[in-house]
Amino acid sequence: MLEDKLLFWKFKHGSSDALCRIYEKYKNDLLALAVSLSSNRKDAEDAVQDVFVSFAKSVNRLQLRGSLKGYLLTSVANRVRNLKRNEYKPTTVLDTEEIAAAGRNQPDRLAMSREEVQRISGVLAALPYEQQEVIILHLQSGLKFKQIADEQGVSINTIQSRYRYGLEKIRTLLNSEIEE
Amino acid sequence: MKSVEKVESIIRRFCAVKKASVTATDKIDKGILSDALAAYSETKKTQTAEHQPNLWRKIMRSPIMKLAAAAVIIFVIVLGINLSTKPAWAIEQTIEALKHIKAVYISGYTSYKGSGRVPFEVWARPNSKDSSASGDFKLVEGDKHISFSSEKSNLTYVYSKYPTGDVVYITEGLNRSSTPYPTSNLFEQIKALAKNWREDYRRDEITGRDSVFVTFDGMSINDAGYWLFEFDVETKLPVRASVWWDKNYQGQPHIEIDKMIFDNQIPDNTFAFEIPQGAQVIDCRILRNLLDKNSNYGINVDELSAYDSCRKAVTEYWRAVIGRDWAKVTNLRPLAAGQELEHLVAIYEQNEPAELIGITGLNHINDPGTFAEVLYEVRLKNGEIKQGILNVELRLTKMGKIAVIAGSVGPEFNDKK
Repeated sequence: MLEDKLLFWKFKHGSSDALCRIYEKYKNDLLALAVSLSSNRKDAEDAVQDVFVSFAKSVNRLQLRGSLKGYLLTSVANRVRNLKRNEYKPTTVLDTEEIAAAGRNQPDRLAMSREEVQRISGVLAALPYEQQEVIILHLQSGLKFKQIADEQGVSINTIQSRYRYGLEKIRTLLNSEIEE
Repeated sequence: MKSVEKVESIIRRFCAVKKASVTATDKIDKGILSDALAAYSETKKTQTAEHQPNLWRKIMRSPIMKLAAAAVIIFVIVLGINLSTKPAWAIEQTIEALKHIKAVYISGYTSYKGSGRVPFEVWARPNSKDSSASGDFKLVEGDKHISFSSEKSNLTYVYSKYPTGDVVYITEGLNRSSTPYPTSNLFEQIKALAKNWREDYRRDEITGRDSVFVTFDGMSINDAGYWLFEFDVETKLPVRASVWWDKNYQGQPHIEIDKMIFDNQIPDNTFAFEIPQGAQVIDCRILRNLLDKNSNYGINVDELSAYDSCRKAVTEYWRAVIGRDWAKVTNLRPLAAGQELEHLVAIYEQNEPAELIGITGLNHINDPGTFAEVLYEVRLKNGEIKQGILNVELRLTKMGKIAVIAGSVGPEFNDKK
């Protein structure tokens, strides 16, 4: 947290090294979030690029209210949302072979079959974007509900409700698949 | 039927797998960074080129503002003449005075809540590649602890005196340092982060020199964040410093620096370290190299804090030992293979453990200069209670975050005191 404050301060005071370090520190988290939300690697890379360029451009007026990580993650989530609004693309479920491969040869807790990955991707994609966003920001990126609420300018109750409804819907979808 | 908790756990696992599968390639890095840096440099250029002249033009267009500006200029000149006749201090002058410092020596005392004061000394030189941190660094804390990093060998030694014997950890890299190095950078950062800044000009009671005593709320060290810095008004250099837990500066400070000497000659042999005779040497490079080559060891702790990861690794380890599952023991403790395992099995046969009573303490969590130390108590089958310390390494591998047992600090079993 302190390191982020120093990095942000250096960034505000003209240090391009600080900008590079911020990118290095959070690039994989941001890309992973964008991939999860957009289900499309190309769009995800575009979203991260847009966020970083606009972050760099806003150096003179930007004031952080919360954490740097929270700010960048919610900026990526917002960017993906805008990309989704602007153009219709059929949702291509991400390369599940690639994802499942990442889980192979790993301890049991991390392992997932290709079918499982495909199934969960499909179920998540069926959720309204706002619910999907909260679930991924919380469970994948590790943001607290309060951080998400603060960054998105909505109440914590709204964020918790989106999370709860989202999980409930996933539960229903997964259980119905089992019963079929 | 799956419960909501079960669904949450499935999605968490899915997210972890997904996260592990996504990394930015060099090509993406270059593309994004070059665009962001170009935008950044353009924005910064525009700010300096546009804003200042515009503001000046606005002022000079208005007749009233022209008069006001003239009055301000006269005031600044008069004030400047007046101020130049008496000593003054500004943090910027300290920042300037500390630029290009080649060495620093600091001494003082540390104290932890509920314990006495421990003297310490620090010798440091700036890092040749990054002057915001130290390169060569030595910290001597009482007679129980020495930390030492050498830029030349790129190694760090951490020596501690334990009741069971002396221990020296060796790690690759400069894992003990003064970051930020106490020169200009530190004071720039202090200035940027400080709140409630107050300056009090008075004479130093010991030296009789004109000094400024600055108090502020700043970066915290072990939760102590209320600072007092004393600067010499003439040399602009910091002379003494303390940091308190108490916002009213009452009670024992956490750190008291009573001497700061800049640019002194530090003899080269200060940055040499000799391993004390009889000390247990824990060379962390051996296990870290092994884990870099093979990440199938240990347990996955992706979703756990460092604290919980260490506890889990030790709990699993004792479960495997008590269950005599030697394959699991070797997987959790990779260096215990071959003869080492035979030796370990012999110890456990002589002192057959029946139950892990509990984890009694954790040290060096997330410390790159050592392994984490987990203190435990076990009950043997004969009813005796034994204590020990296991080293745990948490490593981020391409398979996720794993925890392994690195070995034992001192004997595997000590009598409970």
